[in-house]
Amino acid sequence: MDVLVQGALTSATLALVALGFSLVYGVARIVNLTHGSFYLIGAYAAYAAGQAGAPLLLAVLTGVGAAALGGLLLYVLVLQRLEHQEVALLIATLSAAVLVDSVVRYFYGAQDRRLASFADGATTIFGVQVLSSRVVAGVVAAITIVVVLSVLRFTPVGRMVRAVAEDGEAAVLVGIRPRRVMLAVVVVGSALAGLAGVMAAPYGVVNPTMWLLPLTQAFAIVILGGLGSLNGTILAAVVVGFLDRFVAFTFSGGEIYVGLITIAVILTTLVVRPSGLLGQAVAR
Amino acid sequence: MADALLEARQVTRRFGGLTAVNEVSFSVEEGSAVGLIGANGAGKTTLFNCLTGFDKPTSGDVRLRGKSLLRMPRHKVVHAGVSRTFQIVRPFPDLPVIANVMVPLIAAGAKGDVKAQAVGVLMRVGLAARAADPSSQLSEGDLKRLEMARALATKPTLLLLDEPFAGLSQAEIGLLSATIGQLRDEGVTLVVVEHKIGSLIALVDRVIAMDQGAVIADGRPQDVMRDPAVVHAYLGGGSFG
Amino acid sequence: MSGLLRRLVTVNVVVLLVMLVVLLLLPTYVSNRALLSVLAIANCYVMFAASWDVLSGFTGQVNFGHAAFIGGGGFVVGLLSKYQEGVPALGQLASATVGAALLGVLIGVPCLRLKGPYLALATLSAASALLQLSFVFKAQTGGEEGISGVTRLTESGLGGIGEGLTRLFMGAAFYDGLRPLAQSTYVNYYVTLVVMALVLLGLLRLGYGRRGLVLRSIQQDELAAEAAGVPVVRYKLGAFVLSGALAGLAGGLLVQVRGSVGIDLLFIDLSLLIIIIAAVGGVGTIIGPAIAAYVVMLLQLFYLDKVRFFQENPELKLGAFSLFVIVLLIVQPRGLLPPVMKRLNAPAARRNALTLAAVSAAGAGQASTTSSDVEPATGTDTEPAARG
Repeated sequence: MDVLVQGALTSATLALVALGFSLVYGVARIVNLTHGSFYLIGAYAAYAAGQAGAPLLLAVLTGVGAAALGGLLLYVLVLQRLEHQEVALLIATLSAAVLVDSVVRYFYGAQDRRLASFADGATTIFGVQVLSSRVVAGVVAAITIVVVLSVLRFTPVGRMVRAVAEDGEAAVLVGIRPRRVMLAVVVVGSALAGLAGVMAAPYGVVNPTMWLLPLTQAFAIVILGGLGSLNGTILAAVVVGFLDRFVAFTFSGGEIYVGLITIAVILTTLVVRPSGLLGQAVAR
Repeated sequence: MADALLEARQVTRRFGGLTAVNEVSFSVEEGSAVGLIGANGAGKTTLFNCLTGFDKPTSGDVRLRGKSLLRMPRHKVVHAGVSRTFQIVRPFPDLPVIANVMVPLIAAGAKGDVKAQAVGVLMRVGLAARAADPSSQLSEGDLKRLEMARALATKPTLLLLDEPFAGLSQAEIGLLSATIGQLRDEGVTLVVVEHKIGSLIALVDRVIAMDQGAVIADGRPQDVMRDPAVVHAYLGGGSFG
Repeated sequence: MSGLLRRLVTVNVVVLLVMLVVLLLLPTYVSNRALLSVLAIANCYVMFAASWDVLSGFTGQVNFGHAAFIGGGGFVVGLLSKYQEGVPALGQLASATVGAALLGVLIGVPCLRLKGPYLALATLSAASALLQLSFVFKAQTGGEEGISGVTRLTESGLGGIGEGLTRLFMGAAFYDGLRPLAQSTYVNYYVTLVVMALVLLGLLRLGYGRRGLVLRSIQQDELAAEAAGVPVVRYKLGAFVLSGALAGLAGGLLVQVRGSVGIDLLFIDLSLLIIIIAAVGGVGTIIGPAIAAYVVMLLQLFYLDKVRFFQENPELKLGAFSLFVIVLLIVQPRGLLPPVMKRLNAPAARRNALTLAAVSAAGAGQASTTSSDVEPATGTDTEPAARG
């Protein structure tokens, strides 16, 4: 039961990060290895704001804003210029992630940081005791995801985005500017990751290397769910989220194994069914 | 009675709900030259891929001298003597022309001076003068000849050509046709997929016509071209030489 | 074989030989021990970069987790030192090489069907998994502290080669007059130099020979290579195994030089640094990454480590390199060296074309005499496009 409740909450936050990653890939066709860094930036920016005395809400906004700004800079300076150069993009985005890691390490040192929680103490849900901050995070994440998916499905803006995702060149014919849309998607995707980082910070790990696990998990989710399928992403996030908590609870000191198990999931999926659960078949 | 060189037995290829190739059976005798025609979407290229090990049929079998090709890894199919060219040419873009030909030679286990052997192959298709040029600089016609050279370098007994004349000028077609004719005269078995019927007929002694994944005619070129089913299939729309 | 002389004249080999000569004679002219220590480590990094290049630069299977092989080899050496004290240094290195080769198979097989980002993630994950495993088995691997007290080169038979070379170049009296710590600096230097030279020569011969051409063709167009009869799976896997084995060897050597093995050999930082070095030097050229490795290491020693900012904040060095490579990729994706090498190689290409024209003019059959003058491998005619 523990696992179910915690798993659901974790799935939501993971889905948030994965959604951002999936959007950037689906629309801009970019595998952004810097994605995890926005998660980190969100957390640290919120932390910094908190240290400077800002009230909680403002700190959250700072975190999200900083992540969004980071996405903007990344797109304009790097992603846009390396369009279509797949390997260069991989190297560049990974380098950017390491760069952010270094810089954060410089300013804040390598130790873990603690962030003030949004809600102290614990609540009881379905008879399970959960940290309130986890509940807040899960709920906020779920709401945000619903909002984003709705925007994509029902609004004109969402239609534009989907048009570019399907066929960037054709979109131009209809008067859409793909680059603008891609920029927006990268910014939003980063913001989503940043939000997740801020929300998870109170109960999670906050240190300079905190970008790797979310990136790995996001990638795992997107691959498991099928690149290009948002529904698949959500579904896979649920799987990975439950797996995450299951492993953490089942093995003593289980947190260490989460990374390993996630990786095992990735490798297994890549070998057995590269198209993921709901994705289109990968061309041979 | 010896086994035919190539035999397709009830080859069927389905993609989800679409049946691209529908229970196609035929055999190709050693030393013969067969043309394969059909409108776009008739299933020629899919069949082609199944015959050469580049795709696996949903059901049916493809046999080379009685032995099934289906379980062979692609490079083994090539080593068994079956070579193919691509409709949309696939050279090694950043390697010079001669390197393009050296690779299949090396893969076939050529000993000694591979570069000289490659030059020899290039001379057969008339590309020796451009040996040092990067293949990305070649014209369409030359690229087709390079494709041919690469296939030749594998010393095939059975050569399958996928639309060799597509995109070529009349003069280029003439040149390529002469080379193909030479191969046929040397005893290489040929299966040629082509839309340019006029140019094709000069090279082959038998034509198989396909429509919607099935064989609708199989025989001498002049007979097939006059076959009512074939005429009917084409009057509706497929491109025609 | 005929054409060997011609091949020796290839720019790449010349550069390598010049480099080796300089390095062999260096200690006789320069007595800066710190420099020699750094160079010994740099020699290992050269091998890291070159082994990465033979896989990622040649077959196009870009490996984002090369540290897995390096750390894997290193830990084999470390664990052997800890648990099997009787194994000599050479035996340790052999084990490290074999272990890393096996790892190459383990990682290479699932990666066969993967490309681009999928492959990047898979290799990244593999290295990450190995790192996690070292924590899971903390008791054996020493967790964050790693294993120290590893058999040093000086205490081993292999060190004898280093000692011999030092005596040869610096004089026996010189060697005997040194204190043990200084002696080991020279031994480390020469041993790593010899191993590196052998590895590089071997890789050059491979890369610019027949197999190298086939590997390149796989990167250019895998399907076309298959149609040409190339056993693509065998080559791709072979490249993984070779790359892994050599990296493991170098990793083990590095550990023997340092005398300890730590988890830093499994970090993503290391994988990225190698990629950066190769990207700077020019992917797919073997020599390019080798030179870049020296440049990066020496840059570190002479410049970065002298700047106070980096002295106080060593962790920012990688950040600086990361920034540099980002800028480089935006401005000149092929790396710094390929454009230079291309210009140097141009005369050879022109020479080739003339000979071939003569061959085709002479007609069929008589090709054998003239073509023996023509370079057997075409690696010198073209700069393989650095994917990126």
